[in-house]
Amino acid sequence: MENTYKSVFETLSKIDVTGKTEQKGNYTYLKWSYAWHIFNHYYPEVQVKWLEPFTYDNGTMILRCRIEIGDLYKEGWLPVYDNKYNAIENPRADDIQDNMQRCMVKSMSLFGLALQLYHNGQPKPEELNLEGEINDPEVKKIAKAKDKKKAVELALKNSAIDENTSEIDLGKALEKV
Amino acid sequence: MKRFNLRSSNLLNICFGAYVSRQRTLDNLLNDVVEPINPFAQKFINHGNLHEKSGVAKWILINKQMPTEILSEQKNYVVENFLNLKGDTLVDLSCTPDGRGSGIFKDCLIEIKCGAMGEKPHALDKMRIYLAQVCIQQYVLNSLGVEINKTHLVSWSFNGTRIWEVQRNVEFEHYLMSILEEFSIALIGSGDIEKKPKKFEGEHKIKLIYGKE
Repeated sequence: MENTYKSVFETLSKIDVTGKTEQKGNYTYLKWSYAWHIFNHYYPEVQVKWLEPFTYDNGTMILRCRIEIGDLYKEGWLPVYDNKYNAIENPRADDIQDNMQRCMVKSMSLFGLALQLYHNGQPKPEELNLEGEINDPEVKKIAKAKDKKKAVELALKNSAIDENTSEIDLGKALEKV
Repeated sequence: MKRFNLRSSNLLNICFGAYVSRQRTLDNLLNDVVEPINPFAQKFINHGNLHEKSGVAKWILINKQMPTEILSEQKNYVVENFLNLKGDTLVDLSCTPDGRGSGIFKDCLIEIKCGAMGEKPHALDKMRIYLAQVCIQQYVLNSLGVEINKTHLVSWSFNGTRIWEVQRNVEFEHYLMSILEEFSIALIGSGDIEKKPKKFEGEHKIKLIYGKE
């Protein structure tokens, strides 16, 4: 089956990278070798290409990387940082190498791999509510109830819903009263 | 027999020419013209239509009451021939509130506004423009024998909600009815309308009951 951006994202964004990360300062990263391993497992044709970096008058630079899976590609970027996330002036080869690895992993995340680390630092994939689903289990019950009015009244009476309940969720549940 | 319907949602144009001049609103009604909504205004209308349900839900969560006549069960109320005109042309006055309270709120209407594309709830100054619509809604229901003494005017946004309680205001009602009468008489071809009617000099009975100013 031919790869598409959608199919690649659906595959890679569901991967749990627990135990495959490292901590750098306040941030959690997927180790570059695991990222490469996972990518090669699913897409052995993967290629990493390095684009001309942006260099600035003060000697700092931004690395640019392109990840290709056949005809599909994503381009990412990353400044050459020190350990405190300050851009390094006139970076040395070892500074650049460290950041190339981070830049490659970040660029891979644009295909979905370990993207959740950039949301919240958690290695488990995060389910985002993009299709208008109702998150609150109590409100879900209301949405499924035959008589929604009664279901709301019961939920209010039992304090199962209150001012802290999402009105957006409840609104969706009530849409077809 | 010819019949016209003055909707409370169009009251700002009918009474004050707020978005469409009074004369053009009159001509449109006379000629059965429905003006296309410009894309800028349509964006706000779509946002309001989409999020009205969130405003209703917020009211429920705050007041711990399930209202009636909400969303798909909204009810259209019509006072037929509200001026008791005799002749071949009649004018009705109608409204469709966003909800009606029950229990301790049974004399309360609910009107939801989702302004500023959901960024923040409106301040009182912005909400004042809705008082005419609210007042006529109260008038219509009372005329039909449904006792309504107040409206909860809700300004919902993603970043907070404000609710004002608007008490029935007979003085304001009389003021609006005189403007509607003038407009209706022009509709039946027996008079002209003023470009801008005189301002209401009385006081509005409105107070914030939820959220901070």
